[in-house]
Amino acid sequence: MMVAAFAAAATDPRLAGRLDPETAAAVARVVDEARTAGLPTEPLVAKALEGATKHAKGDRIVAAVRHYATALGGSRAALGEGSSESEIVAGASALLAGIPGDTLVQLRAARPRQSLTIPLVVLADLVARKVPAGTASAAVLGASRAGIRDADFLRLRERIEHDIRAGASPDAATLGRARALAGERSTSPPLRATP
Amino acid sequence: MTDAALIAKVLDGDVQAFAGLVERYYDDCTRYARRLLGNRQDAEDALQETFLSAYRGLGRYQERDQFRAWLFRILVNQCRSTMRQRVRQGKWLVRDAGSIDRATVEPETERVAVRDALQTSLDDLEPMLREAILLKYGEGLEYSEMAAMTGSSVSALKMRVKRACDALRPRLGEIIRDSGSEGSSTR
Amino acid sequence: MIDRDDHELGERVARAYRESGPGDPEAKLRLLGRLRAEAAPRRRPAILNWLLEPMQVQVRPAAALAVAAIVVGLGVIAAIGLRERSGARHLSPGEGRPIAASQGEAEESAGSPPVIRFVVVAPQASRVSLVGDFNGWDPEAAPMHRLVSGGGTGDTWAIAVPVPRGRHVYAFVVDGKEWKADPHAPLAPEDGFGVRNSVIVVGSAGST
Repeated sequence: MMVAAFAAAATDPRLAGRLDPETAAAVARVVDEARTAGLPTEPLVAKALEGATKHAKGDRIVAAVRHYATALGGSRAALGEGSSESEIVAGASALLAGIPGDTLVQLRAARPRQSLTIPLVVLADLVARKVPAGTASAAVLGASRAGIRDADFLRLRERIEHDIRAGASPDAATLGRARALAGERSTSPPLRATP
Repeated sequence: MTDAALIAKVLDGDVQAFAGLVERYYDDCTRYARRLLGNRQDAEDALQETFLSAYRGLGRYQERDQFRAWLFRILVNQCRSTMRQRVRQGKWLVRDAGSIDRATVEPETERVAVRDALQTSLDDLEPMLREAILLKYGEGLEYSEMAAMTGSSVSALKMRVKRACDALRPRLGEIIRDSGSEGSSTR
Repeated sequence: MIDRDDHELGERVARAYRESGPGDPEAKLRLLGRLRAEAAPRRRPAILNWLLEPMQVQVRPAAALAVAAIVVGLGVIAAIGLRERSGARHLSPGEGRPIAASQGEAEESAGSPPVIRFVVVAPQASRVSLVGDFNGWDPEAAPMHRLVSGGGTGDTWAIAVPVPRGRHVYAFVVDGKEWKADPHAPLAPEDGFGVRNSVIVVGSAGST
């Protein structure tokens, strides 16, 4: 008990203020490990606070923060050491959504010098809307290789969302819009539906 | 040279004459766009689209309309379109450091305080109310002119102006009082 | 209906409006540049004028409500149904300028984060909060306020908050208990707590 209390005293005051001491200490440990590994820590603290606001149980909060930390590590490994914090965070979200790490590697290869934040945000959004991971990955990769700008990525996302709301299946909506995009740029290879 | 004469020149092939119309009306249009949209970049974009629209559509313009009114109708609708796009995104940038910066280099008079407060208060009005009060008291239009320009009814416009005034009065009153004691404040 | 008080207020508005300052000369130059690239306008044959008689925007009475819904707000939370669909019908996807680019274009005071205004329509709510990773997900940190409405009951809620550059997640909390994502923003994947959030990216224009 004393040890736990002592550990809690060293914890980020934001955590101590919103979580019970045990949970705060456990989260603080994850945050420390992440800091040692050179990973962004603010998103981990924010994740814990989010859980607190949602009245999640302590062990669920700790689990979510751990998963997130793992994903941050995986994201940085896939995207490369020089990646920005927002890229790493967006990449972690995509990984947590079920996007394979390999897609992140390929995205970086397709866009070595430009920020991947927006393509990753769009990728995660599509999966959140029930687009199969394979289809979403192919669409975003194809668009990245075709060199489309961030603004157009967001428009692509909006169009897909619009089609889904209008009743198209997420898979078909994505394939349809991605093909239309490829059609506009005759140099890019045609997209195929992934099995 | 009158607007009509300039337009005739443009349609006869002297496209450079359109620059004369731009010179004549750009500032007026800027004022409306900036006040309505509260943001320089959006205002500039809306202005560009407005003048481009007017240029492309010049063949449609008929002399029975005043050119300025015709141009303003395009502007008002362009701004509405910007508001729709913006709201669709669910959010927009409200602090425009450019406008505030300019205000702070001028002497801190009551007028400056009112202008900052005006913009801040305008930002809190729903777009339709903002549009109505700017057309009525900013541009000084009659309700019939506003109706022709916006497609809304005179009674709806009167109600919006009234509601806008009711909302602005306490806010502007506050600022006037504050500016008496502490000088203008930049929000 | 318009009384004397309104006229005095109107005068004040008019004065401030007149002092709004001139247009930006560089913006004007940019406009002139764009105009030069345009095809020269031609006179339309008179018969076409009569036939086509364009109004820049004509709000048909039946459509007025739908237009008002668009202008008022589209992050509709409660039983949206017809209203949101009619909003979606009036929009062409892809017309909007993506928020990531437009935020960067705005100027901000040196060193301080951009101020972002969040707007949402929640017709039945008595209170709405903005929560996100930029305010510790604290429902007390950013209580939203109702906008004055031309329609009477004020369905639109808004707040302006500083949001540092980068990717962030957020949501709205309605009446202290209902957690809602922004229907018109990208979704964050399931967050580990059973609820979805929305994503905002605050970055520079022409994103690197």
